[in-house]
Order: sequence, then C-alpha cells, then structure tokens
Amino acid sequence: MLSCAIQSIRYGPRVVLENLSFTLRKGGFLLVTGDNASGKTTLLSFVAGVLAGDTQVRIDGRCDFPAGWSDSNIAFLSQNPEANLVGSDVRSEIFLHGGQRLARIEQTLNVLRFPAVLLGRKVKDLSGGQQQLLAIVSALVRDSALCVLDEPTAMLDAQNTGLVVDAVSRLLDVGTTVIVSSHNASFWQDIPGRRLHLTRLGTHSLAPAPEPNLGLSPDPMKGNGSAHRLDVRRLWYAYRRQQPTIRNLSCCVSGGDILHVSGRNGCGKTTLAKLLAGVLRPSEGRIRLDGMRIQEIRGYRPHFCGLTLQNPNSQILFPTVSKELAYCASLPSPDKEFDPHVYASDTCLRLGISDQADPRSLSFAQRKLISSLSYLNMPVLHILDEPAASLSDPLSDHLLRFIKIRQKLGLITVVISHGSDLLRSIRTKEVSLDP
Amino acid sequence: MREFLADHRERTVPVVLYCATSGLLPFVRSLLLFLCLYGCFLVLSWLLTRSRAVVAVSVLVTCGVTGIYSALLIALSANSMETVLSKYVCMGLSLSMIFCTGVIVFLDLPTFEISRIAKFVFRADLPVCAVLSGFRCVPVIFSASQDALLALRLRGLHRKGLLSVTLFLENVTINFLEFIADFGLQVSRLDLRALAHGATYASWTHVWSYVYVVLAVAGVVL
Repeated sequence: MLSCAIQSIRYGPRVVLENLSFTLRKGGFLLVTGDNASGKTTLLSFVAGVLAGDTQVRIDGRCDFPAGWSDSNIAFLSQNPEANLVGSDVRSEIFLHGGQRLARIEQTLNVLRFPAVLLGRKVKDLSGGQQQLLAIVSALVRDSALCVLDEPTAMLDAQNTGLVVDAVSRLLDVGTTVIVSSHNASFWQDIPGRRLHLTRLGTHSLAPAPEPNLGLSPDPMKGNGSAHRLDVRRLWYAYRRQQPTIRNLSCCVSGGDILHVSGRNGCGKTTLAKLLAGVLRPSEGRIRLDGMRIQEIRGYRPHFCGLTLQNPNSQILFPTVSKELAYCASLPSPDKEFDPHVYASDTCLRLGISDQADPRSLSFAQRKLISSLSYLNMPVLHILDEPAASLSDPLSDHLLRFIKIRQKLGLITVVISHGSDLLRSIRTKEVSLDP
Repeated sequence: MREFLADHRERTVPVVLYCATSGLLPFVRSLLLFLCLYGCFLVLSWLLTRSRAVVAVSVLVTCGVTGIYSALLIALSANSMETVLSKYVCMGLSLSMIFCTGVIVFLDLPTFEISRIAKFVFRADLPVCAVLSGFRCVPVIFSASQDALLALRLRGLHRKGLLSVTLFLENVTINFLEFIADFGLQVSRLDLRALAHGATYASWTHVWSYVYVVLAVAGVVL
C-alpha cells in the first residue's frame, strides 16, 4: 500500500499543492491530470522521492522507502526525455536498466514494438519521440515496485501512445504500482484505477480573459492570397551514412496558409523544420521563400523566418518572460496593425504569471508556450515544432489564437505535430511524411 | 530482437573472470582508474605542449570542480556516506575529467589520442557511473551549445556582441546544470552494486580495458 499525504508545497510565495492525500494498493494505477502548472510534476517528484519537503510518503505503512522499496526500486520518467537516458547508445541504455532480465527486456521491446533498426543507434541520433520511447523502455525493463511516469506520451504518435498504454497495463498485471501524469486523460481511460485531478491554486486568471484590442483588421481573411509564398521542390535530405530522411517532397504554401506536417516518430518532421528554416542544407531540391532561397536570405533573419524548437529549454534565452517575449516584439513587424506588446501582456495574464517571472521557473508546458510565442514580430514564415505537446486546453487555445492571428495577417505558419486534433479546424494544407 | 539479446549473452564474460578483475570495491577501482587516466591526460598535455600553464590549469580546474561538485552532491544527498562515495564522488571525478579534456581541446591540441582513450574508457564500463556520466555529459554540452547558438542565430541575436556571449553562456550553463540534476537522479537509481559485481552489463571489453589502461600508463611512463 502506498499512501501520500501533502500538507503544503510552495514555490516561493505560490502554493502549488495543499491538503492532498491519496492511497494506492500494490499493483494499483493512479492517473494525475490537471491544468498546466497545477502541480502534476511536483506531486510525482515527491512521490518518487526526487524532491523532499513537508510531505509524507508511506509505502507499506512505512516512511521513506523502507527496505525493498529503495530508490532503485522506483522508476521515474521525467518530462525531458534526454535527461532520462543514461547510456550513450541504445544498447547500453537498455542493458543498464534491464541488466540480465533478458526475458523482460525482450517482452518490453516486443510490446512497445521498439524498432530493431534503432538498437544499434546512438542516443543523440534519435528523434525526440524515439528518445522518449527509449526512456519508457528503460523505465519498464527495470524491476520496479513503483513506476512514476510524467507525461510519458507527450511526444509520441498515436500508435506508440497506444502501445505505451498497453505496456503499462501489463506492468499492472505483474503487480507494479504505476502513477502517470497526463494532460490527456482519454489515452488512459481503458485502464481501471484511481483518477486525481489537480487545479491550479493561487490564481484565477486562467478563466476566460477579455479579448485584448490587438488592432487587427476586421476582415478575418485579409491576409489570404497575400504575396507570400513558400515553394518546396523535389526536396531530399539524408544524414551522413544514413538512408534519406526526406524523399522527394514538393509542396507550395501561400500567405495565410497553415501547413500541418504530420508523421510517425522518427519520420523526419524535425529535419524538415530545420530544412525549411535554412538550418540544414538540402541534399537535393530547393526551398524558396518569396522567391529567395531560404539559405541565402540576406538581412535580418527574424524578419523572414522563425523556428520554434521542440525543447523549450534551448529556446529560452532571456531572464524574464517580458524580455523573452519583448525582444522580437521590439523588432519591426511586417504588419503595423498587430501590437505585439499588447499580445505579450495578454499572454502573461492568461498564463497567470508575472511578466517579470523567470521563464525557467515555469512549468514545462508554460515554457513551451512562451517559446512558441517568442516571435511576436510576426516573421513571414514561422515553423513550430510540436508546439502543443504537453499543453492543456487553455494553453492550446491560446496557441491556436496566435496561429489564427498569423493567418489573418496573411503569414505562413508551418506546424509540425504527430497529432492533428489541435489543427483540425484551422489547417489549410497538410503534408504527411509517413512512407 | 533475438539476435540483439543473443549478442548480449555472448558478450557476457564468465563470472570467475569478471570477479577476478573486479575484486576491489567500486569506489577504490573508480579512484584508481580515474587517477590513471588523469595522469595520462596530464602527461599527454605536458608532452604535447611542454606548457606548465596547461597542466596547472588542468589541475586547478579539476580540483576545483571536483571539490565543489562532490560537496554539492554530498550536501544534497540523503544517502549514506558509503553510497555517496561509491556513486557521486565518481561522478564528480568524471565530470572533472571532462573539464580537463575540455581545457586540452580548448587549447587546440590534437584530440586523436584523447578520443581514443575516451573510447575504450567508455566501453570499459568501469567505473560505470563515472564513465557514463562523463562521456554522456560531453555530447550533452555540445548539443546544448549547438541549440543555444541556433536559438541566438534564429532570433538575430548572434551579432549582439557581449549580450550574445552572456545569453549563450547562461543558456548552456543552466541547461547543463538542469541536465546534471535529472541525470544524476537516474544514475543514482541504477543498481550499481549489482553492476559492479557482474550481475549486469559485463563484457569482454571490460576485461580488456584493464590491459589497455596498464599499457597506456606503462607507455607514458616509459
């Protein structure tokens, strides 16, 4: 039996969790849901013994992980997949966690249908989704009594998500206690167990805020048919000593279009994002933005092209949210009707955060949204790589609103995502990279 | 998949042979290996540069980082001192090896020898914790640096002189520290005692690594 009692957990003046308690029998399942920044990660960190404070976690009636429940008996998967991986290659990673439990390793790899081609790869050569899948393999091959998984499916495609849910079910069958946090409860609805919904304490600003006056034209489709044009012709790209990742891709996107790039984990979505942003040079083919080769854009690049990376930590540069959002906002915007400063203030209001807050003190999802909104100068082309992963509904709505504003301004937006729910209502074009 | 698992079985050394080469406590073995390798780095840097400054900087940086890092981990750790010694000090030592390597690489020295040593040290899986943390951290630092540079470039900040340097260093440092915190957690959850006693992850390269280390040290000394 695992029992957890939390009196109060604070980050500075903000109360994150208060008067919370639950119990879980051996082999039980607990799904923790809630808004972003409601304390899901904090709760899981306390249960897993990562953080310590005014909290009591008892297992089998005893405190502080008694014999048989040592740290090594608790598998913990954090939201950042890179930090979960200990080995430098897939092989060492799996065996470091699985040891000589070869039957268990084989079963886990089979249940998750882990691609055999990845077994000989280095961790750094895996895509974000593949890294997350490997981290899940590592957590499941351990002989753990308790498995704590923080947003395990945030970066996985639908098929892999289903496989992970199936693997967790099997884990429960063998008596492992599992605690999962997720912003999407529907993935886990078939697993019986307890549900815990957290609400954000100490703020009420996530309630619908009044629409700010952004000074936009009343004509909602003003931008459609604008002169902007992204032209991709016969694009090929292969990493060194590997099969081509992008094969003969052609598409044409006009101003006001929202291009949705979809595909399974590891199909080359992020590679395409970097190609479109001019970070990588195509092996063959060409990419032109408004007639200019994307690699040869002269002048100030943020005027033309913005790229929001998958990992917000590497994107955030400034010490405060206001500076992070205001830097690009201070650049000349191609459209004078959009007031980026009003939008930046509105964003802080909706997130319920101070504009002087340190972006790194925010939750992972909040950081993700801030990094997505860091191009408020509204470049002609903005590529967002998995912007909605881990976002709860209010934050997703705010992101959608940002994308719609770009659409109204007649700008090109490329959204890379393994799921299509977010974009179903607004996408105007779609490219699938699945073979 | 079966080939993958079978390959692992074939690589597993006989327990007797493994025990013969891993009879010492993990910490002592870690320390000895570290001292051997660190000695190699120092001698190598001296031979290549004939510069006392290089060696002095290496020593200072290594000692400083090891001390601070180990003290920090010991202070933060709720584990017993034995566990601290066998796990976290190894990480501190290995981290210092990175800085030592970094100093040499930074000074534009030939890196062939360093990478060769690094390669077999990693494959040696001994001391697992130290080596893994050491050589997993290097690509993470590079990757964090690349991402930070990209973020600066994409937002047009790379031409801003001192501001760009400051933002770059802050971003990389914070990301690296965050990584170390999470990574240290995962490493501390590995059953290192089992690892050290050959229950898992033993391989023929482990045995050969001792030979390599002895040969390397002997070669440098001679």
